[in-house]
Amino acid sequence: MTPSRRYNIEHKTTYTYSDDVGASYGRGYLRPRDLPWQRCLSHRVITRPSAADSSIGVDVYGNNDLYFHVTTSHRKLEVISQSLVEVRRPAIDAKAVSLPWERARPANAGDADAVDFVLPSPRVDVTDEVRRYAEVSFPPGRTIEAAIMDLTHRIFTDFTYKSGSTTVTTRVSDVLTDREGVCQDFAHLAVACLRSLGLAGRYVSGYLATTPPPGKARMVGVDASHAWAAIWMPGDTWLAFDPTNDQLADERYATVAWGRDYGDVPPLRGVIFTDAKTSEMEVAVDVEPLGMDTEADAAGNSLFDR
Amino acid sequence: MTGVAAPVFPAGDSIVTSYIQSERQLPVDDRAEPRFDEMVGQDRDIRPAWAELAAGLAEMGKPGLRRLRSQVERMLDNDGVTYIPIGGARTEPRPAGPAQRGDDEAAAVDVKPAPRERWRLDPVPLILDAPDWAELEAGLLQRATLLDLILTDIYGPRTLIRRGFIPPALIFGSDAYLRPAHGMRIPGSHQLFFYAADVFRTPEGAFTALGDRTQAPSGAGYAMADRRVVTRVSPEVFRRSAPHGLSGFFRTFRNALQSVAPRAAEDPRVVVLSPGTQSETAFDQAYVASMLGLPLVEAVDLTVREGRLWMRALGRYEPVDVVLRRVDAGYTDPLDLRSDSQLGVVGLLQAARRGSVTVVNTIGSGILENPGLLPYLPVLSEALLAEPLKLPSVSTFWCGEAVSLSHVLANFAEMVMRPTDGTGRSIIVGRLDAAEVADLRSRISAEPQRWVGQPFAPFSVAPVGTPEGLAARQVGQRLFAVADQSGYVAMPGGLGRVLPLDQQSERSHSMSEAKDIWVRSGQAALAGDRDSAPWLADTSALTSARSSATTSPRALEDLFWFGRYTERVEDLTRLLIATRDRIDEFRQRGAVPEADLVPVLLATVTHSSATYPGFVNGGVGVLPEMRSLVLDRYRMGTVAQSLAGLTEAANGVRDQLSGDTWLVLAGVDRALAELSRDQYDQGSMLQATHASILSGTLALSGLAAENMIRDHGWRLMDIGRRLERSLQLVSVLRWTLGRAQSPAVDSLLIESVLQFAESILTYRRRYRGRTQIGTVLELLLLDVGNPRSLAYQLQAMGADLKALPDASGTSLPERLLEEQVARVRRCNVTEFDQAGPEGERTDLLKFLGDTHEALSSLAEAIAAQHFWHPAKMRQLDRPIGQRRDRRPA
Repeated sequence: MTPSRRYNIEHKTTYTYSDDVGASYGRGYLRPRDLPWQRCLSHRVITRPSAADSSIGVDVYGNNDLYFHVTTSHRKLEVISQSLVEVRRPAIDAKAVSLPWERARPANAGDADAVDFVLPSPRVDVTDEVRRYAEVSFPPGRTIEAAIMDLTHRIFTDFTYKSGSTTVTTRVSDVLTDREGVCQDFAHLAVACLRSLGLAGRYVSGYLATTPPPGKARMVGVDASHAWAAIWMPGDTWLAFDPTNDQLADERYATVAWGRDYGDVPPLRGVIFTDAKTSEMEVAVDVEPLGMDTEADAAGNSLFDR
Repeated sequence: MTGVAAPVFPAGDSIVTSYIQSERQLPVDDRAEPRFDEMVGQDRDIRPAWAELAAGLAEMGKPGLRRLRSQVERMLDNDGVTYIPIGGARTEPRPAGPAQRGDDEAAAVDVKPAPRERWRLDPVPLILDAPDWAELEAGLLQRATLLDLILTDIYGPRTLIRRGFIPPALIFGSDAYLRPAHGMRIPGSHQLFFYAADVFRTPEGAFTALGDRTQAPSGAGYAMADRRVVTRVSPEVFRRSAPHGLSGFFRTFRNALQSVAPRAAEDPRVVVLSPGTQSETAFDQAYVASMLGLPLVEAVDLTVREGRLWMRALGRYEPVDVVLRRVDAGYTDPLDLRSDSQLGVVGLLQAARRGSVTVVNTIGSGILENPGLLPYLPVLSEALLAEPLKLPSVSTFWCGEAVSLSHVLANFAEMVMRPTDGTGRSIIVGRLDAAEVADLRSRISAEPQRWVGQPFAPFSVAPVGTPEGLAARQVGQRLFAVADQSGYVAMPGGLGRVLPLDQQSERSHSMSEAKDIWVRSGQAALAGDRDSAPWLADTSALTSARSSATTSPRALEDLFWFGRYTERVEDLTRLLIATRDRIDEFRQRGAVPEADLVPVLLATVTHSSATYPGFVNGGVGVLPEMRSLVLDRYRMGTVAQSLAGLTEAANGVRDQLSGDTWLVLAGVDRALAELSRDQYDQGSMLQATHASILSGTLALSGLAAENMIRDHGWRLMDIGRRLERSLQLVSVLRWTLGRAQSPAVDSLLIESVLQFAESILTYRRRYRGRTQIGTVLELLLLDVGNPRSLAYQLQAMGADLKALPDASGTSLPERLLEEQVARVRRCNVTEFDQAGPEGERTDLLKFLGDTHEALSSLAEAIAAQHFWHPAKMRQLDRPIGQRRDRRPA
């Protein structure tokens, strides 16, 4: 049993408007999932002004989706999500990762649900350029693990991380041409690469705990929400990898939601009614490590049995 | 003749015998393939079910048929049965703000109404005999049952996909599969509520389904409207083959809607959600709503609060339990579905997921329209129902399967290609040129799972009335079924369709003719004796259970503008008549000093209608300009433009107006069309048109006065009418009497104003022919007994405002009105004829100017209080007015 870590995560989004907003309807993917390697110990969302109506449901992929409706007229809306989450390093199916990658094609493996993640999706178009880029990492017969590590590393080295270089509407083909982007773009690219080869790839949204530089105190609120990718493997498990940081997802990755692409699981989206001419949005994310959770270890494995 | 089903045929030539003789040689398309003839059997005999109809057709001959056709056209006009070709349909919301409604301020706004076309209907019905119908009905109901099970599974356990009965790519790869709808269930045992199948007959005479309609099937309203028209025009002889009535189906439909309501609410409120009057099948939606007695609403009329759906109604919210959806599912909620939709209700999906409202057809039901499913239905039928599929589908190959793809490509020239999402048109490969074929091939190879191929198959033919007699044309049928608690119930009839000569795809966008479908009962000949003619039941639509409570602010606004436009048409027409009379008079009298009044009147026309430059700058020919003021619908302020606005407003509240409204409007349209055709008119036709328009507006006034419940909608319509009349009166007075002329001209102007204001007889009687400004103003401004006076309009508006539910006596509109009443009462009209050195009647001008301004403020206050325009809808996560955005790093 690998040790688990606990994080106190605060994700605060502030919208300010130049004029009154009569009503805001919101949909959010903010509550971390409960998974074999992760538990959401507590979670709450506060809005200011407070919502007249709110609820959390479960979507088609098992994610927790928040709905809220603010009816008080406002010029500033805050949505604060607070989660206490416990994460372990996900167990990797050693047998599955050492299979030749071709075996992970859901069409070959006869897995119907995974086919949903093979087909193109609104923000991930699978072009010939993508396929050519992907093929380099997937020579025939290579193991899934080797191929994924190679793809992760190549995206990490071939592309420049550049904050603000792209927008939510940037296409995979733009990223491929410009060779720069942010985590969301690299996750989309990785997913597109998998799909171009008939593999099932999903987009994962969550948080990454960062370590401050040696000797510096941890700064509050400088973190961000993060995104990475995962590939389906025979045995119906998924291997999650992070091309932005050239590594497999481990106990530093708190998973919130997954879908075919960003559009399925944005942290927050919604509809407002206003005549405002301008608005601003500010996001502050803080992932505070609470240290090793010895208590949970003492309590045994039952916490993580599912 | 008694009702015995014996083929009665006049010997020798008739349009029926020539149909029989010519039919076999008449090429329907470029392939001379054998076809099934619905009326004529193998041995050129008339099929028994058609006997009476054929006899009737033979009897009437070509002239009778021609007469029948023109009667049908007239009826369709009179009933306002229309269709908006898809190219002309707009998806943006209806114009809402007064600025877009032809208000005086907005003379520059170019309002081009969508090209609404008359529905086209063949007078000859398509007859189905009892055995055929029994077979068809059983097949239809079985298909509905099967598709229901498939739909339930797709959005539930997905067993069919997991077990390989349905290829996953067929569902997951379709835009009609709506993931946010996963896991949602509506009450009752069926998830597929309303179903339609497009059916045709093969050359062998076998009924075959071309496709399934499950998104939000259209056409049931047209089927009913067709039946009403055909019923009324058909000669007696047709009626001997009286078909099953259709209104029973609508009763079942209404009960079915109530039975899917979420709670055991005693009287669930059901609404019909329409994309708006610009939608392709707006008529169908409105007609279905009125057949069901349900309010027709648009997204703007609805809102989600406290997790459930509400309808806005004069200052409060009414809960809504069931939505019959005519908006495509993807557009129903900009929060969870297409964020660019202006046709949806924010939060509707959330409310439906919680089960506080039932939306039918269910959000996501469109997935069943995917033609890629067709090849899998026979096996699914065996697996799920343990029965063979009774109504087979047209042979279909889904290109997502390698074998099917190569079959399609190998037989490409014989294929009709259809996209699986149903959004694009079908493509008949045989009609493409080489380059187009190559292009299509590569598109299919790139995304094979998005295509199916169907071998081209000709439909059966049936007689269609043409000016030259009967012609054989390919016909298809759309049949309907609704989920009742016990199972599916079919409409005994449907929407028949005559294929355009060059078309065979069922989603043709070029408008083809409709056909009424007559399902004959087993005892056809006795139908007339049975429960006193099913015809009668069909002619009276179910009485609508609407109440004032269900009038939304949008509908109120439509009625308000209906009133304003009606009055605007009437007032401009009256002014044109009064002006024309003077022109005629002085043309005969030649150049006399009094002729100076003509330019004053012409300028008044231009000012009052805001049709600048018009007569104000001179230089326009009088007759062409007078014609344009009536005919030019794209010019702001004209009669035609106001009529278009009036029609548009009427379409928005079709369920609240008497059906006779359309009869009146059709008459006016015909008069305008006649004038328009007469290019060389020297004024006499124009004069006749003025009279027709005026009698139309008088008829509308009569309908409003005698045929409408005095509910809130009527009040707003009346306010609109009174407000417009006041404004027009003030404007005409301003431009005719505002400046002193010679006494002779003034006296003639006064007469013209009195003629315009329909008060000349009273005036003559009361003041014995002596014309004076003071007495005229007394009659037109102050006399509360004169229904054309300003004081009368103010009083009537006061009564209307008081009758509205949120009247407090101190609301802004009420206060503004009070002020005007007091001001009018206090004014001293005897001083108004005083003219200043420049000839201006300053006091009169000031009074009229102030009144105009006050009336405009009143209009704004009424709009602010009673109409509701939502603030702009924006996306939360897209900052307004800047490009940058924060997102996951």
